[in-house]
Amino acid sequence: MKRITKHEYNSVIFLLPRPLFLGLGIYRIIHLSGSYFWLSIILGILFGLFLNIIFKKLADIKLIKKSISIILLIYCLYTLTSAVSTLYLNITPKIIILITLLLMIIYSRMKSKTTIFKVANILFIISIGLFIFTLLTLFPLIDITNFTSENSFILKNILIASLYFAFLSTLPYITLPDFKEKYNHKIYLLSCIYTLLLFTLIIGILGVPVASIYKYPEYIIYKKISILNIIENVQNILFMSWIFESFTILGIASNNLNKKILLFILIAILIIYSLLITRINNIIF
Amino acid sequence: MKKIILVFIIFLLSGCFNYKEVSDLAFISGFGIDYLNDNFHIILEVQENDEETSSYLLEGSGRTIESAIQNASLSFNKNLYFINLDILLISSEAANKKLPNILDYVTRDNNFSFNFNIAICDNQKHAMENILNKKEIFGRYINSLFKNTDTNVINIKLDKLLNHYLNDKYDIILPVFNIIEDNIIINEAVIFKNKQIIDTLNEREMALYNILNNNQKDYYLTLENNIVFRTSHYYTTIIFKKNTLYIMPTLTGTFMEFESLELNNESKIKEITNKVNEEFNSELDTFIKKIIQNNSDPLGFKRLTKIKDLPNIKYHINTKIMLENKSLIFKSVGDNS
Repeated sequence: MKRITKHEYNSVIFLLPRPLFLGLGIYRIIHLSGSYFWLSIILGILFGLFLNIIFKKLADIKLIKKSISIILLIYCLYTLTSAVSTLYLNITPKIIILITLLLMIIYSRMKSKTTIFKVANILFIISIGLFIFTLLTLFPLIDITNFTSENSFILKNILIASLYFAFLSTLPYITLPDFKEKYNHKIYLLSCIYTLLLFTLIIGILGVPVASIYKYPEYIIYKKISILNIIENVQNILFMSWIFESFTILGIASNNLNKKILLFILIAILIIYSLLITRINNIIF
Repeated sequence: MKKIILVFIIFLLSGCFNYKEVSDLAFISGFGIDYLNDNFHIILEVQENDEETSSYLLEGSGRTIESAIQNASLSFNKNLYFINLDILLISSEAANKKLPNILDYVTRDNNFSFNFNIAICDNQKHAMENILNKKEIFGRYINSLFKNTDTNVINIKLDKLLNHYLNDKYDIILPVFNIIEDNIIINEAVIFKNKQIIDTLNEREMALYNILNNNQKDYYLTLENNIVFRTSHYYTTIIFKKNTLYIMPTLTGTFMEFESLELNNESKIKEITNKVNEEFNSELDTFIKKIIQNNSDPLGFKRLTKIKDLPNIKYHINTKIMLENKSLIFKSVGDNS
């Protein structure tokens, strides 16, 4: 079996901290910390660095690795199905989107971990390319007045938001193979700066009141892109980077599980989702 | 077995569910909403897919915006698509009574653009037909009107309107479309208080609003002896210190159309510059007093001062006029005697 190169592993470390922010994550942090989001994220990064030290030890325990993999699999499948259904295919029944994602998971489980890391490496390059484009086109649209403090400074809320950030950005690392040996804190820091820049774009362009009403503010900012009135409506292409990141976590989490157990879990998700689909939606959103 | 699964995937899971061709979509460029007798009346400007400069109108009524749109498209064989929407026109009646419903409708649906302008217009059909008769697409025409920096229009897009609407430290401001001699003119704006229209701003006041908001538009000031001061750019800083709001605009520009002013006469230039400063300060002071009297805050003073009611606010205006000579001539062509 081919070895996973350092570059491939680092690509995955870079991609994994973000998918859990999709949907609820960003909303929660903005809702709690408002214009002090930057403080929450900086504190969150520090907490995250500390959590990674703990997770390095936890990642060796098989039971924890598998449990977290199952939780992340269910959570990411739910958020990804909701996002695709809301933003891309709003006429398509959610169950069809879910089935497609389940087939993708089964296919990626049929491949080895090396393949997942190689694919992640390619997705990383695409993701960076899309991000640079986003940054260059959206940066001039930032309105500095949106950063001025509009909400009062509540330390408790800022700390809760930073803990959210720390957990959401580090939890996926438990699912990584050889995390103890190959973890690179510099890549984690770089990935968190990327996330901080995304938050800065969201708040700078939309402002706290608008950003906190949208389910996917990270998608809405892409709708603002207009280059010479020619390049417009590119939100669906740019949002792909979030989907790629979710694919990576789904691929890695599914590879930690036994094929039979995985199949059982996926069938269970499908049955539960199809039976309780309306009720689940009402509870979460 | 794998091949069977592959064939199954190829035939059943490739392509999009309920896929629609572009020719089956009707792209809306202009959208007008009026509210009369407890009913929404809507007008949609649909762009022709084949022709670049051709569009037509659809009209409908209903108790809700959705039902009005459904009524408008009853005999229409295409799906309405708002992703290219350029302008949303709201009547003053609809703005006063149903603004929350309208904003909710246009923000909730992902088929809506996020980059369109919003304005008040009470003669929506007349305005749209006027431009359509000139063989232009109304939405695009209005879009270019807003981009023109020569006129001091207030440019409000959905994100800015939402930001101010959801923020209790701001009040909304919206430009108004008037039709004068079959021409659309954006020479007024309305300010809101408690989500209701409270007063109107004229062209001069709109220019001052743009200066205080750092929206780079051209501003000019005419002095008594017909000397025109025209800005090339400006920047305003507003700070709150010792219970006083300091409003500090810096206007950079040149003198134009002067008949009896020598550019090399330094003391004369200084005198006229001071006059510009005085005139501008007095114009700005009147404007701020109007805002304060209405207790409406489209400039977000409450955000800076943390004061709940504007009438309690103390303010101080400190204007700086900077001259730059970007004109092509040294001396006045007019009479220098």
